[in-house]
Amino acid sequence: MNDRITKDPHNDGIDRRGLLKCMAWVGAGVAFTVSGGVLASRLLGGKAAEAAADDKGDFTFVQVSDSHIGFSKAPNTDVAGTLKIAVDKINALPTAPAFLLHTGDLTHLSKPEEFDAVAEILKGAKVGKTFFTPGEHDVFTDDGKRYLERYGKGVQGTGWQSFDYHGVHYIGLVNVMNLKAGGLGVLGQDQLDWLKKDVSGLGDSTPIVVFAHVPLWTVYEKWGWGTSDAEQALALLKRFGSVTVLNGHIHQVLQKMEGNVTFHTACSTAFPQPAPGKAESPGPVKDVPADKLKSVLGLTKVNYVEAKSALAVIDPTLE
Amino acid sequence: MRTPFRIVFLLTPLLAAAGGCNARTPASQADAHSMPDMPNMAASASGPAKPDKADMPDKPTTDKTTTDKSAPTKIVIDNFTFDPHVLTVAVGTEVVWVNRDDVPHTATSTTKPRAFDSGALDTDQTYSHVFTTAGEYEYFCAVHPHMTGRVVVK
Repeated sequence: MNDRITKDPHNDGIDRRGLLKCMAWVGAGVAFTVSGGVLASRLLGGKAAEAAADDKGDFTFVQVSDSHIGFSKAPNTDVAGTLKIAVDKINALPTAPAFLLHTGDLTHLSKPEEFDAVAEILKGAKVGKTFFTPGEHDVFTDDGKRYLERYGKGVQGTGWQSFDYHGVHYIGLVNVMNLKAGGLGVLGQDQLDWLKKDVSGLGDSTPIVVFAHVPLWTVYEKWGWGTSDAEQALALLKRFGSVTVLNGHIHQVLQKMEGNVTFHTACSTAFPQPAPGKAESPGPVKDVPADKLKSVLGLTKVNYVEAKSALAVIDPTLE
Repeated sequence: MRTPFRIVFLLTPLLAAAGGCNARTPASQADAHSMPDMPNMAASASGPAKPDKADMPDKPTTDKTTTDKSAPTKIVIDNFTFDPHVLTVAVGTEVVWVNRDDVPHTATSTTKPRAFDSGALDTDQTYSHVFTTAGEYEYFCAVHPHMTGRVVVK
């Protein structure tokens, strides 16, 4: 940890360089503190991080992403096995998560038996409820028919949805339908119209958590790692003091903060993908030694904590 | 009015739970068994293929769906790229796409209704389409829409 912190004017354990380094460090924990709409963060790591995070949480939820059930090649010939490990980790948490968000690519080829296998494994997770949003692998063979047969209950359009929990408003968006040649992920006008209505009655101070498969900021356009009309969605959320965006798709942890919005992508439970532009293509990173595989897979745990003033640390250099 | 709060992310690697996981590696060769269906034209049809011009379609094929009426021309999907990117063929030519990547792709025409759509092509799977009408056919991968290609039929 020490090498990550070189300047720490606020004595909160973070500087700009520290955060940037952390982005490439899978397995890290990052604490985000939001107070009055101003966001700061600090690094956490390993067991100390878990302890700190579990310390005073009002509630916890977990994000699981990119299970790709049906994939069976290097570096992971047992993606069901690694998803089960993720479930075991969830079940071993000191406090049971209020719910689980799966941010898409449940399956590899949208086959019924793949969907069934995912459902069976996730049934074992001791969480209050599970919410899904599809990835392109879940919808590309039939425009999402099989996906919606299973997860279409109570959702709008092609699968978008929202719900409230403990004062936080959660919005599940779908940006993998009707993809266009040469393009990025797309939300579409219908969904944007719905989003506008969905948030219209909310006060500015309502914390917002958005979850969707493809990143809602352009990570790497050449590989399609972005959403073409994300800006319109984010414009609708601009007035809110705190917006947290959780994505998957790129099989690695990246974080970015922009104004009051924190973007975060999760690890896959199946296989890692290369850092943006660091390979010829975004195909799976194959040469992962078997004993290292599980260190590049993972899940994300999010704790929600009512802040005491002492914890509302502000670091204005993080912008 | 605003409620101060903080959100803590913990990215939990799976390593710590290594006890319950397996680490088998050798089994992946089994996937190669899906290959006998493959058209055996890698050796015969490749030749000095030009990247953006037509192959001469005069080679027979063993592709499972072909009727041998016309000679197929191949487009290889490799490293998230359609190769050749632009293929020019004569009317009546059968074009075969083969996926050499470790992830699924599609060859999906950009028009609606689709002029052609391969559906999911997993590793080493092929799709063929006979182009009976002259024109320019743009297509893309519905899983990775940044992948695009074009078939020109003259």
